[in-house]
Amino acid sequence: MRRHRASLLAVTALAALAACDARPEPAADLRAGPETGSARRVISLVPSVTDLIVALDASDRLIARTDYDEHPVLDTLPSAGEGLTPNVEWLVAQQPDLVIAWPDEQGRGVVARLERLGVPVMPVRLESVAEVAAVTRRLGHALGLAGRARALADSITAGLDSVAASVRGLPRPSVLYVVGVDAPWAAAPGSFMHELIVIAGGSNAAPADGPAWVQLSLEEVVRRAPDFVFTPAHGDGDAAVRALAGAPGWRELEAARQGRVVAVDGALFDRPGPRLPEAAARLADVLHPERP
Amino acid sequence: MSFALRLGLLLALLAVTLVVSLTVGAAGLPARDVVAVLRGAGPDVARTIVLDLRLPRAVLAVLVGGALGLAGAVFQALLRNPLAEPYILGVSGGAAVGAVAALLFGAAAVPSLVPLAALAGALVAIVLVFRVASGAGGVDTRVLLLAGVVVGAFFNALILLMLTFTDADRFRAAIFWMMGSLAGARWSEIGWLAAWLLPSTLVLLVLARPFNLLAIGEDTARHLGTRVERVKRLAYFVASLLVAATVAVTGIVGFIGLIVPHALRLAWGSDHRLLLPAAFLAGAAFLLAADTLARTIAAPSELPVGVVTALIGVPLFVVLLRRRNA
Repeated sequence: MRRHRASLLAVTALAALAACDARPEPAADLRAGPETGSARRVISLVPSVTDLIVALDASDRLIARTDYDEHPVLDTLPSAGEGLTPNVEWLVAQQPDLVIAWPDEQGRGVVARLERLGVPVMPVRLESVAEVAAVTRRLGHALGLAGRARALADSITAGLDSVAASVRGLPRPSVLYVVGVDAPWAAAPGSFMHELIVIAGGSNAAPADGPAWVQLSLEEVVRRAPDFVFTPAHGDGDAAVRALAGAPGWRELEAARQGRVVAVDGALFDRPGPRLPEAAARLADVLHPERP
Repeated sequence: MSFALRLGLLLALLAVTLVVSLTVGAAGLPARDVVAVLRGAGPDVARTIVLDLRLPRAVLAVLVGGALGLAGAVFQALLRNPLAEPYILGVSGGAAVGAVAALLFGAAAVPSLVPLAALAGALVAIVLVFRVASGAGGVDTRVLLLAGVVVGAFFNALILLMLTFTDADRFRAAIFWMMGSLAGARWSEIGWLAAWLLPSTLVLLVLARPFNLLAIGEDTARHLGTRVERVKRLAYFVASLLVAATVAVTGIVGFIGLIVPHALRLAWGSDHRLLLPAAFLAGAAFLLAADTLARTIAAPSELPVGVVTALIGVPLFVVLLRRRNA
């Protein structure tokens, strides 16, 4: 019986430990929120937002980066990892006065945890061209750089408008923007890539009634017979084109035979940020080499 | 070595692990700050990190690791099968169906919905498996094992079916849930988990003597006055509910419930009066150590804790196994 008592004691001690609720009251100095409009210690876990901050000439406010931020001015900053599943303890230890996080199904947990700890969080989902301009203005607000942000947002919008104007009235070839070869994901309406395709004077060949990124079977790709196929490449674009245009299914496409499978710079196209007009112009150059 | 001494050893091991776990982390706080915080002082950031992040996570690891170790030992005794572990009877499969369904319907917006859905799924699995396995003559544990395995396989198919029709966001959230994580530790969840764990743990510890008799054989146990059917039913439901609660809070954390009881059995024999409490303490220390590694070894990124439990647990176990056979 004594043996039992020892184990019971152990269990009770553990339970008592669990019951002693520590104070959830967060540290006061972490409280100063984005509404103060002068965030000085910013961690952006969203690479496209990081790009916007750099474009706002406010990279000195950033105290960390993610593994995906390759801008040279950020090289010396410590990395928070890949950004989607950050280590909350590490973030808190950097003593940020603003964390910008991606609130997807999983990121919401991170946002909630940071908020519980009193760390000001700006959840940002950048998935449309309009959101890029809106987020730029919100950032300007948080950083106390509203004027500069307005100018940047306006120039992004103007840049896209001028690409759209240059292809007005031209025929719209059908386009697929795909990631992956065997079971490719295609950008569909709802994604910013779809908007770029339309701005650049193409029509998206991906199905319109599904999610923003839709997984297509190879049969579906062949059936939809896009005039152009774009795929993002990091580094060797020719290899990416060879891999895609030579793969079963893909190589049957007219686009593959005509050399209209085109690799685009992943670093430019993966993120809806300040370089959106550049990305749109790149697509338009391929789709409409005749444009002014 | 007496039982109390061995349990004391494990308790000391757990205490040391706890201290280490509070001291190390991605933030790289100096040990003196951690000590200051534990004495009620220290810089605010250190207080936040130690008391609001490390401590709840460590306590959750202790509770979940303990529960899984104990439940593993109980299932091995109940099913008299060395492959038995806490998830073998489909509890985790049911919980995963509930959680994944909730995630796919967008329940991530309401954080407490996912654990509740997981719990509901686990309860469905527990009742379903029991109904399949119980017949006129009571519960045949061999049938129980089969029922658990096939119901679990069915749930797995359901999960894959659901994942096929979802978008990338929710797919990723579901996969992460299934990999298990202690990162979301909150005192409110820890509180109700502790309230659920304590009585279940006590009931299972009391069943140690009947388990010793069951190990000899059901008939022998019956002749010696054990109410075999009642013990089996009680063990099945209480241990399953214990596992259900842990899965609801942390997702699926593999290998602890399989390896910890076996390792203790190899080292100290199969007397359940020692094995059950020892499995709780060793499971707690093991998961706490694994989670501490998971959140520090690749800092500031985190590894899934289930990966660490398997990567450390399996080699350790192999060593024990070979030493025993040498």
